[in-house]
Amino acid sequence: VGEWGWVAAGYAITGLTLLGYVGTLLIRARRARFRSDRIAGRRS
Amino acid sequence: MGATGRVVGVLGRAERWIGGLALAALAASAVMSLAVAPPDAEQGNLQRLMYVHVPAAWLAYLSFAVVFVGSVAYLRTHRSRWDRLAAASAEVGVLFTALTIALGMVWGKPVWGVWWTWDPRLTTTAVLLLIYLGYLAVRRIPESPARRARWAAVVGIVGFAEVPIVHLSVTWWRSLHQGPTVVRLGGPSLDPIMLWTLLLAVAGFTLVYAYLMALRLRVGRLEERAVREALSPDVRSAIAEVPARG
Repeated sequence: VGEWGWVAAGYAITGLTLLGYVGTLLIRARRARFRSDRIAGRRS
Repeated sequence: MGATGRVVGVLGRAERWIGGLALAALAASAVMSLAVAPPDAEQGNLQRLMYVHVPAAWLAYLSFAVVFVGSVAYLRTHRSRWDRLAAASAEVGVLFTALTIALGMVWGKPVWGVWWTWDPRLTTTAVLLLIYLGYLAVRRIPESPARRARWAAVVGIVGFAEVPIVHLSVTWWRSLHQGPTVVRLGGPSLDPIMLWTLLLAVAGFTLVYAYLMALRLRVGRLEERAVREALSPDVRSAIAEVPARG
């Protein structure tokens, strides 16, 4: 692996980590909202 | 509404704007660090990893400082929003500490010849990661929310002592890791273009932190609401009778 290969690996790890975390948080938000709506629907 | 509530409200409304700004700053930082900043005289292009490694470490410090402030404020006021702030920041801090270690390994392998060595900076950073993984574990103990928040706050305050140890480890002990180049007596020892590129990267990562915190706090509020609504009406009314301080 050349110098640029290591640099690319570092930047790729950073980008994927940030994207992965943001994606996880968005999924968690959607699930929580879905759970609330389902419970509210069952009660009404 | 207290100061934290106002901050949380502003962060929530501005979430998309902060996200857009963070993305723009990261793009500008990537152009500066990969195309504009010169290669290092000794390490060549490998030194460009500094523009992601150092900001990631800065965010880990910042996150744990916010955990410390939130924990102290929680123990003083018992307001749950301080606890939520500390919990959100700890999660983000753990992510960036792990990222710092991973990027250090990618940088260390071609420069030092090894992925990992028990160097003081690396070892203290690994301990920092373990401390805040412990903090997140404490937050999952099945206990009353108030007691759990109190225990977590104590860990958040005591654990913060590790942050200055990590930062000063390269000056206290003989280390393979390079010493401080920006925050040091006598001023930064970096080339001005490299310094400005690094500062832009730090600013971009700080905006990323603000965005992640806004998003994480929103997720926390939604998850708490889902748990509250899942409780039976009797339990909910019993909880409502207890004076809540949020």
